[in-house]
Amino acid sequence: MITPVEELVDVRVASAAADAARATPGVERLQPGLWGLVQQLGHELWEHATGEPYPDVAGVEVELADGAALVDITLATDGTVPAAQVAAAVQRAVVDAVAVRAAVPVVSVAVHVCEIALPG
Amino acid sequence: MAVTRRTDGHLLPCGRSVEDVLDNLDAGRDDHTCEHCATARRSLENLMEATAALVADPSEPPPNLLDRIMQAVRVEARRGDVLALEGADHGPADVSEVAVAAVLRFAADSVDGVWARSCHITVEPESAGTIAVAMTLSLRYGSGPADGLLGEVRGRLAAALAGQVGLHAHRVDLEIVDVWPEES
Amino acid sequence: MVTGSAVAEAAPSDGGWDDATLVARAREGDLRAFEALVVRYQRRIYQLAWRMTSSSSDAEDVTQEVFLMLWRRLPELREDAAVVGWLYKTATNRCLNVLRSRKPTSEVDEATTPSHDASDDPERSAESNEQMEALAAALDRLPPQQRAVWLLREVHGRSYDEIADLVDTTPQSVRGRLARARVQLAEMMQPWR
Repeated sequence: MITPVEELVDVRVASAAADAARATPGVERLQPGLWGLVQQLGHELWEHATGEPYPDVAGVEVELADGAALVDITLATDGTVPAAQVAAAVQRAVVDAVAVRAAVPVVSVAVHVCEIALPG
Repeated sequence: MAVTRRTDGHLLPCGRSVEDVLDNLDAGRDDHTCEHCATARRSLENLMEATAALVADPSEPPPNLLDRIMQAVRVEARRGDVLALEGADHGPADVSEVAVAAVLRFAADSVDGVWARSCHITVEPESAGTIAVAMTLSLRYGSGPADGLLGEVRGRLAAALAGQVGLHAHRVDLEIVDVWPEES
Repeated sequence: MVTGSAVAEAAPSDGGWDDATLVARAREGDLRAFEALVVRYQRRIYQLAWRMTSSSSDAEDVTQEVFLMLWRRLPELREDAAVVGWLYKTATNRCLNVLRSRKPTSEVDEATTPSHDASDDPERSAESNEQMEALAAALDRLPPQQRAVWLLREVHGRSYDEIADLVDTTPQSVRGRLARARVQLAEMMQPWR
C-alpha cells in the first residue's frame, strides 16, 4: 500500500525528473500515457500537504523500492540530436536532479522515445 | 397508354404525385401541367435553392479539434514495438519503431521525385543498435534514373538514422512499387 | 508498376498524398500521415455530424470518436482508398446512436439548433439565409434515418450505392427515402405552415 508520505516523495522525484528531462537539449516534450492522463488522485493530497500546485509530471512514472527510485520517462525528441544521445543525457540529468531535489538515489532511468519531431 | 400511378407517393389534388414532379425537375423537364403541379414545383425549387445555400455555408470544426484528435491518437500510438538504443549508462533506453519509420520516410521524401510508401524495420538479434530497413517507394516519372535516386535515398536514410536516431542500418532494401506521372 | 490515368486524378495538385498512401503509412504508425487524413476529412465529418445532431459538442465528440476508431481499425481496413466511405459510414452510425440515446421526449432545443449568423458573411443575401434557416429547422424534424440519407446525398454527394451500404438497405430504397425526404422538407419549408 502506498502511504501518503511515499506518495509525496513520488511526486517530488517525478517533478525533479520531469524538469531535468524537459531541460535536456534535444527533448521536445514529455508524452503522457493513458495512465498519466487519468492519474489525478494525488493532486488534492499534494496541494494540501505542500501548499504548492501539483507539478506537471505527465510522461514520468516513479516507483520507490527500498528508499531508491526507478524512473520511467516517455518523451519526444526535437530531431536536432540523435535520440540515443538524448536518452543518455536525460538519464544523467535525472539522476543528478533527483539526488539534489528529492534526496533520493536513482537506481535506473528508463527512457522511451515515442516520437522524433520532423522539420517543417 | 397505361397510366402508372405511384401509390406510395404524395398525391396532388390533380392526381399526380409530388415524386413525379420531382423526377421531372431533376431531369430538367418542363411540366407546368396545372396549378397544383406548378405550386409543388415551386416549393421543390425553393428547397433546391436552400440546399445550395446550406452546402455553401459549412460550419467549421473548432480549431482545437485536430489537436484533441491527435492527442488521443498519440496516447494510443505510444504503445507499440520499440528498438533498443545504445549508449545509455543509467538504465534501458528505447525508441518507438513507429518514430524511426517516420524519420526514415521523411528522409526518403526529401529526395525530389521520391515518396516513401511503407517502411518495415527489423532488429538484428546478433548486433545491438543495428537494424534492417525494408522500404517501398513511389517515383515520379521523369525524375531521373532510378539507380541514382535510390542511391540518394540510401544516403539520406543513413544520415537520418545517424543524426536523428542513433542507430545503424546494416541492410536497406528499397523497392519501387509505383510510378507517378510527371507533373504538368 | 506504371499505373494509368486514374493515378493523375488521385494525386492532388497541392502535392499531397493520395488516401491509399496516407492509410498505408498511418497503418504503420506514421502519425503525420494520419494527421493529414484528419486534416483532409475532419471538416466533412464534423459538418455531417453537426447537421445530424444539431449540436456542436455532439458533433465534436462524434468526429473525435470516428477518427480514433479509424486509428484503431486501420489494420482491418481492407481497401486503403475506401477510407472516406468508412468515415462516412462510421460517422453516420455514431450520429444515429447519439440521437437514439437522447430522451425521446426532448424537443429540439433552440439554443443548440445550428444557426447561422448572417453577420458572418455580409455578402449573403438575407433571402437565401432565411431559406437556409428554414431548411435547417425542417431538417431537424425529419426522422434521423431520412435526415442521414438526405445529408449524405444532397450535401455530401455520396452515391446511392454507398448510402445504401451505409444505412443497410438497397439503392432503390435510398431513392425512395430521398424523394420522401425532399418532399417533406419542401412541405415543412412553406412559409405558411
